[in-house]
Amino acid sequence: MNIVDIADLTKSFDTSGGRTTVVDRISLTLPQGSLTVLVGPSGCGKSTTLRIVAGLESADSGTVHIGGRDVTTATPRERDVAMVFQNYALYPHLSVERNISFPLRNSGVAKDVAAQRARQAAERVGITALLDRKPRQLSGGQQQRVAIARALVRTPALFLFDEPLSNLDAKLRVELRSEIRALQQDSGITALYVTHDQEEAMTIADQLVVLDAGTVAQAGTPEELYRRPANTFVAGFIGSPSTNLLTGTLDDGHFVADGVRFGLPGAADGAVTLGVRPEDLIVRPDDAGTGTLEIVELLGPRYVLIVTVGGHRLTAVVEAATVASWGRSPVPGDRVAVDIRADRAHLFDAATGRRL
Amino acid sequence: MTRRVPLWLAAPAIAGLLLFLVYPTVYLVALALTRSSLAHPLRVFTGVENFQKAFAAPAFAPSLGKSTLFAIVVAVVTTLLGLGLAMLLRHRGAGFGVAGALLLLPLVTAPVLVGVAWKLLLAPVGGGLAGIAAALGLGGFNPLGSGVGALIVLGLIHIWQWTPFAALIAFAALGVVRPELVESARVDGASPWRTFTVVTWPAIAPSLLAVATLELVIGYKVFDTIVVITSGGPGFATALSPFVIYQTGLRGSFDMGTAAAQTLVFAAVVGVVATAVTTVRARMVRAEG
Amino acid sequence: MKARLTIAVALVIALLPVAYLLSLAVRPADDVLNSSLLPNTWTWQNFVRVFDTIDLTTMLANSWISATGAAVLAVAVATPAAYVTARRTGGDRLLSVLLASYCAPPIVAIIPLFFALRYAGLTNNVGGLVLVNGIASVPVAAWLLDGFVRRIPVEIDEAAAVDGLTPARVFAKVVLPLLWPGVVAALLVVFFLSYNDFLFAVYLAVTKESQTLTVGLSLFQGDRNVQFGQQAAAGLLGIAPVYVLALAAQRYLVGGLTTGAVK
Repeated sequence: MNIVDIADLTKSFDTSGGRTTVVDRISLTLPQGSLTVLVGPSGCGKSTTLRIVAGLESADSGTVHIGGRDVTTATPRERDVAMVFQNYALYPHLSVERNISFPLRNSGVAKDVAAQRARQAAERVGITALLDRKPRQLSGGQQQRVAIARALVRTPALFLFDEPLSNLDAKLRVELRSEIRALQQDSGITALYVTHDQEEAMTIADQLVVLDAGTVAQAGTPEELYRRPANTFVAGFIGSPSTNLLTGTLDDGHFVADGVRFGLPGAADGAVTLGVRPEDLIVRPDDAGTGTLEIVELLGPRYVLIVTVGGHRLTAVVEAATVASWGRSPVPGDRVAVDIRADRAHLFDAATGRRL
Repeated sequence: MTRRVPLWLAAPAIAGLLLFLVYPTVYLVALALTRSSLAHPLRVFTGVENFQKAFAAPAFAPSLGKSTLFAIVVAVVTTLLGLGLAMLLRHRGAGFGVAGALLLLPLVTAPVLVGVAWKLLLAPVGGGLAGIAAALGLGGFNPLGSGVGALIVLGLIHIWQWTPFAALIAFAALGVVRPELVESARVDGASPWRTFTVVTWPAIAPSLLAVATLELVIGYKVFDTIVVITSGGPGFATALSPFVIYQTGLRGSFDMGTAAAQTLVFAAVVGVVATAVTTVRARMVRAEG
Repeated sequence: MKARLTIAVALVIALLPVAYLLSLAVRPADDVLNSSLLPNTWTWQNFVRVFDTIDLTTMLANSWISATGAAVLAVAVATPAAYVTARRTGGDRLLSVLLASYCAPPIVAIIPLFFALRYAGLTNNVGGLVLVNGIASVPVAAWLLDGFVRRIPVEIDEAAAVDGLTPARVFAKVVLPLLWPGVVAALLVVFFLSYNDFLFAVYLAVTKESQTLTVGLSLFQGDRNVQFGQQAAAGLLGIAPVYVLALAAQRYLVGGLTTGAVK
């Protein structure tokens, strides 16, 4: 059973401001054959964690086990991992075919066997026509495909992806991410994938891990993180547009905060942070309503409405069909009534941000 | 990962350092503290006697001041001239070009050769420029005949040779200045001088200060042209420290002990000045932010 | 327009001394001191006679061999060292020490080196010059190459490590092939420095068999009856190939010096 075990990883760096702990006691288990995504804002420690697993950085404390072996102090080549870098890291002086077969030649595989396997890997990513070219003659997307082929040509214990799509344009990103996902599933090899793009993370992950300043904010399936965020950080990070977060008090079944009042039957009293996803906000035109439309954005099948209620600016997503049923186009300045779907609301402790 | 780069790859270089820095320093100290000649080094321990002899010699102490003044002046002039040349070349376009390549030639010319050429150009009787000088009414044009004149000639020759180096580095440094910043300054109504001080200078200052420091150190090393053109004269006017040391150890009485003492003192002076310049430079760079 | 004029003037100043040497070299002996930049009569005799006056062939050979040898030695030592200074944490401290050693005027090292070489039997010997010029130039070569190594993205090193190479093999198989413009630049710079060197040569190689061109040129001074025309001819014969080399390899020189300096 070839699983990857990361336990209590800690790493600090010396910076101009003193000593910063970038990875703070992170523990993870990667089940065999799964794709785990590490996601979070820049500086959260996701790349550092990946590089520690790769052996390119050493942790201050903690252990890494790959396939049952303790590789905490092993060099990268001893760990049997393959890595795809953000800026491709192709060898400029080698042809595409030599780039792909490079790892095989280093482990003593015969030249013709290596070339053949390089060809096969190139086929799987669709670049057989480019085998004789040099990296500088290729586009960004093609270069990244070469990097992926180079990782595929071996059968390592673990695939590592360090923000592989960040340097590509949006359309290419969407195209390549499903290809990477399909290739990983076909090969059955465990993968650890780092990105800052939460949409990318949601679409390809078996296991999604959100990092916040060096610690794991939540780990689980994308659905779990979306439907039951464990804290305000995950609620705010996952999903676009972001979850509306309001801090206030629950009083006798109502949430009250600075000009806002929503009904939440059955909720206990106390100070809370309320989290409501934009699609769970109910907005309708009402001249006597408490809210005012600030911004109206049409995104084709749906509208994004930014509404001011009391002291809060809330984002709502409304289906175009619903808006059509209002009879008139919404315009900034319109007065609206705002309510929430109480069954979909999330409640967090006002002080700690943890889910109640 | 970067930690894993093995140190043994640099072993030959470190061995070279031992040969060229550690061993000479130790040996120099030994020589300076003993009575040593070219034929018989390290005969008898003599303490500070060589240092006293070093300063007693008429040429040595003044040479320290002269060398320092010479080095500072040529460093400043080469850097400024080099910057000017670089800016002119930049005007013409992004590449260094044919003109730039030709301007580099003084840099690869052997100083000995340069010395020979200029000695003959400046010869008072029959030299290349003597005719022109006479035509301009400067009869008796003999810059090498006076102490100050000879020093100036040596300085000009050094500047002739080393300005291209400063120009090359300045040219590259100017290439790093972002054109958008210059354009933005111009749109905001800044005069050329102001654009230079606010946008260009902060970007090129580190490189310029680095090249000025290098030129300073190179200015201290002047030796070849002195041997070929002036032999330290007239009198001791152009006897800069490396030349004085050469005379002491390989000419005259072949007194290696005193020559070693002089070398140590000279190296100390260079070290002090160089450190002062580097500290000032570091402070300036920090001030720029 | 003013700019072009100034550059033209700068070019004239840059090329004047060597042009004057050419004008000297084509004059007969009695025309040398004619107070003018130009010759009155032409002759190629100097270029022929100089080979009788001094052993120019040997000198040129010594200069070329010692300079080439020094260049190869310096670059062979400096290239792996540059990989250490550029990539290893704390490596730049080594570079600082190397550069500091270069800043000491060579006069500091020359006397001890003289005794050391004499002990090893390498004085008055091209091999001794190769060794001294080569090792003395290592800091310059390392400084140049360090800049080139830093230009290579570190991810390439990392990818090679993940792909199974030890650090030394990462250097040899991946970094070194990408370094060749820097290697060429460093070879050129050290060659010029060594070819034009006078200080080491005049201390360490003074016999007729081991003299280099620079020493040979300076020896013209001693005689009462100095053959300036021949001296100029000797100098030109020495410098012409160097100039051709510098112009032909200008791209590498410029690229190398600027990469080293502006990081």
